Amino acid sequence: MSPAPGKLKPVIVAAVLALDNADVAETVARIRRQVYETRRIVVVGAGSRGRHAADAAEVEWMSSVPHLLDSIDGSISHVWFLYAGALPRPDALKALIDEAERTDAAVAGSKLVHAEDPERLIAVGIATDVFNVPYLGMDEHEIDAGQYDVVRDVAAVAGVSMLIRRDLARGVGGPDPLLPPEAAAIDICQRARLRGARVVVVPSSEVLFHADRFRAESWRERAGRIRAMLKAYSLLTLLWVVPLRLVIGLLESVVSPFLGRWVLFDFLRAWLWNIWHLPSLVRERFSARKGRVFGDAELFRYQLRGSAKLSEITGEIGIKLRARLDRSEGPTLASIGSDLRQPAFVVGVLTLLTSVLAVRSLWSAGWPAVGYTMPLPESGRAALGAYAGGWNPAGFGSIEPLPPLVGLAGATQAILFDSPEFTAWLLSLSAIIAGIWGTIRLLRGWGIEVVAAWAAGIVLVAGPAAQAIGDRTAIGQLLGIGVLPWALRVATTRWPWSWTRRLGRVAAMGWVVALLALVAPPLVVAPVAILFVRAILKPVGWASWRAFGLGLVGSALAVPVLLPWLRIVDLEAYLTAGEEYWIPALIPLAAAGVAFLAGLLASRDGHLDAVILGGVLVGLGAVAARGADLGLGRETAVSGLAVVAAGTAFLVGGVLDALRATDVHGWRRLTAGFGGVAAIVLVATSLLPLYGGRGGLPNDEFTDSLRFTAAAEGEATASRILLVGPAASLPGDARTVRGADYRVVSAPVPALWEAYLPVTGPADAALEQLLLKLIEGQESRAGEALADFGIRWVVVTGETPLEAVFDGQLDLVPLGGAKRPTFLVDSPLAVRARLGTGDVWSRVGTGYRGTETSGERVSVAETANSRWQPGPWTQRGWGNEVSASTGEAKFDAIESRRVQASLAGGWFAILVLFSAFARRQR
Amino acid sequence: MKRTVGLILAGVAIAAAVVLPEPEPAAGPDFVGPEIRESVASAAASVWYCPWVASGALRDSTVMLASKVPVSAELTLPQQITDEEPDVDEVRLDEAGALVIAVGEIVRRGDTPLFVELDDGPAAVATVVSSAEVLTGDTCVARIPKVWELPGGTTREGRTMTLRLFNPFPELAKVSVSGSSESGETGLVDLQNLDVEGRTWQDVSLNALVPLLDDLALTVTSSEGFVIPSLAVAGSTDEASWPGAAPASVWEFPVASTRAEFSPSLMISNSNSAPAVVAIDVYTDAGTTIGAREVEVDPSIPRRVDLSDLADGALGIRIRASSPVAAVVLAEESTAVLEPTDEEGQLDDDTQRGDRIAGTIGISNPAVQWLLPGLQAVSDAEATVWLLNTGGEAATVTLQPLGLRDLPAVKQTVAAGSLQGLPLGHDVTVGGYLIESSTPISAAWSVESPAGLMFITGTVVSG
Repeated sequence: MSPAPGKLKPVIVAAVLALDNADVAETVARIRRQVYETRRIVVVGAGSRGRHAADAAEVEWMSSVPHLLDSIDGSISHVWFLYAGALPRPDALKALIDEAERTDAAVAGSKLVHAEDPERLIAVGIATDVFNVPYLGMDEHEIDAGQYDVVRDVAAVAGVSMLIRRDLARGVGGPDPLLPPEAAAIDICQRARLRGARVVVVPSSEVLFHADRFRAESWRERAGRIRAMLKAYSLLTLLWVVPLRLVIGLLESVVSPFLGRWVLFDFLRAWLWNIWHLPSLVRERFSARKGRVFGDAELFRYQLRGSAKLSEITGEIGIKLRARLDRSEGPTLASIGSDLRQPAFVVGVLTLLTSVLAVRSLWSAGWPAVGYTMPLPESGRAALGAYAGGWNPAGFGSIEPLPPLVGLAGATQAILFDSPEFTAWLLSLSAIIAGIWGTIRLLRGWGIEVVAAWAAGIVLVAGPAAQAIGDRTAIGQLLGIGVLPWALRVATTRWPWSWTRRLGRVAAMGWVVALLALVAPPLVVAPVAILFVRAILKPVGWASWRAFGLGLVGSALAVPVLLPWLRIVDLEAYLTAGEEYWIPALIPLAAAGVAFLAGLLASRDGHLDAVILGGVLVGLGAVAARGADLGLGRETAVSGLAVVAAGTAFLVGGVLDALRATDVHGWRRLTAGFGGVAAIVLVATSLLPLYGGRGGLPNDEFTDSLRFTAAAEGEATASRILLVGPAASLPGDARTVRGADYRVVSAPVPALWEAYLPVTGPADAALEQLLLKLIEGQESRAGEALADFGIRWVVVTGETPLEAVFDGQLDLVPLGGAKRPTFLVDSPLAVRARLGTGDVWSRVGTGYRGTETSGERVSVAETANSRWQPGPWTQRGWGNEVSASTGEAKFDAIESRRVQASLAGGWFAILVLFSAFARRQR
Repeated sequence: MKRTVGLILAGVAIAAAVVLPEPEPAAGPDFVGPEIRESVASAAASVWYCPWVASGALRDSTVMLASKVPVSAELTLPQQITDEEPDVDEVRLDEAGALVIAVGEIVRRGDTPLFVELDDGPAAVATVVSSAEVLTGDTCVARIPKVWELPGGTTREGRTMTLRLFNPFPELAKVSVSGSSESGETGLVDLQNLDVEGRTWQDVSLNALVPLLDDLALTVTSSEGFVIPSLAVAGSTDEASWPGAAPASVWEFPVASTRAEFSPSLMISNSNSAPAVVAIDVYTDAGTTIGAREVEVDPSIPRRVDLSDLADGALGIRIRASSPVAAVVLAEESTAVLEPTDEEGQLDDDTQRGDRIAGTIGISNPAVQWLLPGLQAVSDAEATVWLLNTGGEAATVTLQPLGLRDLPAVKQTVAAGSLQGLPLGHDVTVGGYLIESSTPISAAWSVESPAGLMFITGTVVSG
């Protein structure tokens, strides 16, 4: 098309951006062959290499785009930017100019096709989401059949071939020199649009390009998109876009390892880069927003709804899930219909829906405060620090080790922006999904089809045993049953041929068992025990014994990850403390019995193996779960329930899948039918509790009933609560005075690190003495005495004679509005840390913070320990007194434990990384 | 084969699990609430509750403290209006001794029940209320049971009976009062589930509720919280007050009457389900009469035993019951002296005023050490200490005055099975007595003034 009458013919300067080692000469040659001639050809950037390339091609060279724009006079109407390596067809520029003129577009881009196979499309314009993440909207191998051949407005055009009006290019200051190519293209398109310019893609302008150089997902590109976003949007938009972008990035970081990528560091670097370049960002933003014609709404018009990144991840997960569930085809539009009818797809969706429903209440509230499950501490770093040689804040505090779950959850929380609720939700969700998915993968390997395996997975994570674990509020074991099938799968899957992959398998076994041990230490022996039983039941051939050996090595490799907890804990006391006795509900018990007998009689081969293994595991697990008389403690008993859960799952999987067998007839068929019904009963009784929404955990008992403390005058966190009532009504461990149970927790609600009380210390002894005096009527001012312990409230959690004891005190004020009978210690001294002047210090993590006061001392109502800093430290009764000069009182972590924790973390990382590396070896 | 092995292995494991026994449930608490502390002076901190105290325009009260050790005492005087801050005063004894504190110097607002917190012991507290026409008082109590027995009341003509329910604790107390009289159970429907707000008290006038009952015994039960009850019986001028008591099988009353003009009587209530047989032993200057009288006390029917015919003059008694009973002695100025004494039928001026009345609870356990706070401290009155030795051996008794300065002790022998009264009069330098005996005895003191008569039981020193 010719220019309109009276209108000057556009004059073009072609700028070849020498970004990498791509061939500049070929691109220059292609420009020279254009039917629409260019006034100048300039190679831009790449330093001396670019200069040499320009010299070789006999064209000009300029160091940067701004220099180029400065050098262009008013006779030039457009600049055509091309990446080195881009191969425009001879009419590419003409098409761009014609369409840009026709549509009055200030920015026009070409259609990109594969250089190796020009029939295949790379991109026809770029759509972005609100976060500037590009979305091409086409399949990887999509053929160019002209389906996109229409000139249209787009969010951005690829920088590979972009024609831009000179005045606009100068007006917006050209491309941002700090940005990588793709982000720079999106950025300049956005800025152009804000100034009222049209941005169009011209499909008739074709440019051949190497696809592997397009859309390189580097951290610089991520950083560039964020910068482009921060430059273009109004503050109001940024107010919601930035947090959302952070959350999505975080989610991507968490999910990506499961998709074979590791993007966390890219994510962090991208944001750090932007923080580092904040001054220039402010300048650029000012310049971009100055003189704008349109607002953000104009940008939104050409953007996708939702998040391109999330869509991409979801799509990938779908593909992976299908692949894992034995589907080899990728998702195509044509296959969607048949997918919907496939059990694998249905099972995947059901798993996801079930899992999300099962933890929906945890999203906003985190783990409930009930029994041994409590909300995560406010600070993940503090929890990690407390685990790694820091102060154990349970009760009156001690240097006893915290359970490894506290360290693991703390580390996870620290990564997840210190959100206790999100971390709890994610951990529970992951455990449920992993449990169902792992059972499917495991049982598929044993020849059991996907639907039966899914039902088995449901029984594993929510069956009678899992419910019993939930009722006992054993969050560690509840998470552990999600990992257990994976440990078994890693051990029992086909043994690889290459030595590297074999070592990788061993490492994988190590870290999976380590994960299991971290959430519930007694479960470190569960996989090897189950594999041993399996080997006994299937003694022929090496496979089952090799799996057992692998389990043994895995457990051995996992042990170091339990440091420093393992070195300090009194294992015998840990495994024998507390009493649990599992009494299964009648209906599930009968159903399991019928299923086992029916499976034993009617199933064959792999099904029979699963049924027998399941039955034996149920029996052995039940021995542990009812083994109080054998001296087995709470942790051991609940871990026994995890084995019961696995056994029940195998039983259900085997029995249900046996129904498919076509070679079973007569009475066996009838028996199999009975077994199937029994298994369905088990599945049905498993599904219901999942919909409680708390991941199998009971209702929160304390958050609401102790919430009133947060509304009290002053900081609730600065004080403690004395809870009195039967042990079952108290959170976590309890102490006993003359048969009456009680315990001390932090206000306003105890956190997970307070579940297990340390051995009785001097503070506990002093409190017990006080309670004895109160019971014996020798003390009438309990409030005054409790204030010394930092106790500000006494809350009655159930029937206890201690309530009457506190009734008869002269200085305890009953609180009428509380949900439970409550007494208030009406004294400003009822705080955990305070100066001699009475100034209260706030609790921060496991330490305290207040006003810096030189020469003053702060008394800290924690069990006396000389590591409380800053010195000089003195013991004050059972408590501590330290200097107030720094405004902070904290426990000086035990270095050896910190080192051990670091080594444990390092060892875990090595196992994970090596197994990932080995898995990729062909 | 595989099925058989599977069945056996699973069967054995499940059978092992089935036979494992359930652990015994943990033994529950071995207490049901705060253990009831006896009203004894022990070597520990203690709180003494004194319900019947008043200090206003007409009446004055004194708190009398005696201690064997240096002690700090905090007196708290709650307000009758809920949530009002109580008045508080602190005093200290730097060495063993006694103190007399005038309540009017702390606050003067009429009725003023109070409690005294002592940071050490043995120490004991008693109170006296006095005016131109009244002299009453008794030892304060340290025990706070849920159920209190208060025998000895009456709403007969000429007597006014008031029950004070003192709640010194911050928690609201819910209290039910039941009564029994010579007619049996007395319906006190208005006194069921009474709310006594924390740190306040309530006075209940029984005359309005159950008039014209000769004998009225009350039982006060707290369903929530605790109260300290006190019963006061007033005549036309004087009045007597005593705290609640716990039932016991043996009671000793070193003083039931001081002179012939005061007619003694014993009131016994039985809250058991079966009748109790009560034997009364009488101790006088003249000698001892074991089993001087034997009465049967039916459940829910309090029994008043007139003792005036058993002795003429000072009198101490011991009662032995077949099952625990509650008991109080009362001494009332004889109405006989109010008869005209001259030919013109005019009443004698001196005897016209005679309506003095005293009462006290008994002692269930004789002891070798006693604290008598306030003895000799009541001005314008004649005090007498009464020592009752119901044992089989003579007791050598040392009476150590406690006061502002060191005073010599007085030694006295109390023969086996005898009562001894030692008049001591008023001495501003003495605030109380420590009595030590070679064998267990009971000790109490009486004060007589023109205004009234008062009996106060001593406080046992334990340990």
